[in-house]
Amino acid sequence: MRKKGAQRVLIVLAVGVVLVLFGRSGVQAAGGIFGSITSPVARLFRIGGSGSGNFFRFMGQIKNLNTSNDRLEREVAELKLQLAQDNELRVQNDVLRRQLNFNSIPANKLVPAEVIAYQPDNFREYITINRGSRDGLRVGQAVVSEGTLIGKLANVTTSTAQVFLVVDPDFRIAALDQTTRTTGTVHGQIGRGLVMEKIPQDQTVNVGDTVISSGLGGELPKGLILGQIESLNHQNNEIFQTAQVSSNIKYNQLELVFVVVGQ
Amino acid sequence: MKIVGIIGLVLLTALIQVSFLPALRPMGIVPNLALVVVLYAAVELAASEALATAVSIGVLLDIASGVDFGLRTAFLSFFCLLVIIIRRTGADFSRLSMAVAAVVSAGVLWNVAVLISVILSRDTILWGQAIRIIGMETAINCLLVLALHLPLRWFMQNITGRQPVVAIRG
Repeated sequence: MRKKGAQRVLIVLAVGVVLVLFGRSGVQAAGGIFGSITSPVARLFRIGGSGSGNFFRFMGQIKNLNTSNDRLEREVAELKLQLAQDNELRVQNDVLRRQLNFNSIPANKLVPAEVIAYQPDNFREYITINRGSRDGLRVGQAVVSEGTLIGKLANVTTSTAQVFLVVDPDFRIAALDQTTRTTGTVHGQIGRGLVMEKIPQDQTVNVGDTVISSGLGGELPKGLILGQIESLNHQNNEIFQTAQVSSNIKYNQLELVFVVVGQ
Repeated sequence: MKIVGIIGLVLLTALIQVSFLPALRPMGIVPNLALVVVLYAAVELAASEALATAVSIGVLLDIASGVDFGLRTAFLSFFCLLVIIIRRTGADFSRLSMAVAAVVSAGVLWNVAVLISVILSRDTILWGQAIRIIGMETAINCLLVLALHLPLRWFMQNITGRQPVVAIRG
């Protein structure tokens, strides 16, 4: 009886080892089919989780609502003034772009996708979306949300794809300060968002400057927003400076993203 | 009935682990429900059934994960086997304290394994942040064990046709 039980255990172990070591592509292909079947259910679970999470986060923030409200009203007034000035700049920009034949990302080059699953543990940052190769997606394409680059496609099946987020500690992208044109490398940090490093000591970056992708290496298009400089770490005895980069994107609460196709 | 119950448990665990819990993120942390379910499978089911549960959940989580394919399958299988072997020496994982100790130890080991894979591919980690995250995940996993100790054992004993337990033994 025990021998039979031990045999069964060994068989199950062997199946597991074979699946992991030799069946990766097959398993992932099957996973793509499984993902497309369970996608509606996963979406419901994700909505349930987001709703519950938002409710508890809201309850925790009630006491700060008054202060936040006052601050936001002031920001709205400042932004309205800035908007009026920016409208004029946009008109001038459009005229110049037409004259120079520059192209920003056309709307028909963005494929919308819903997030159906997240990384099942805490230190890596990937999400799964409900679009795949049948929607024109390919590995390496940029993914944006609210006008900000959030990652690139890592694995693509027929109906789903996995997005490698910029806040993953393994993600690296060549970037530059939009104002001073200083170059650097942006990567994710566990629990701390994004950091821009390898900034030469003789170059300037300022708090509040926008950081964009530089397009170096040809992996991702140039000009995609990564965030704003939040703080600087400048030490005279170091070869490079580093800067903390922040954005309004809540990477743990992504629900709708856009894939830049045809880049 | 048993097979249907186990398959349902595997699918539900995987779906909750990849879709519901990361969206909920209590205190910004994703709890490890898969670890808790595998523990109780190792306690209440036959060895081969428990291992099949661990392998299946691990494969589904590996498919959903974008990196380190096979790590979750290997770890959950190893954890399941370890619990089964330790049980044979007389340890009683149906006691709440033992269950909590098992999940805490395994949870810390799991996070260390993930961090090692990060270190091997890149250079530095903010250890303060990493330790904070591990600590908070451990605390939330303990709460998960407290909440699911009776329901999971009841469910698994039901599908195996045994008399369900109604008491908590510390």
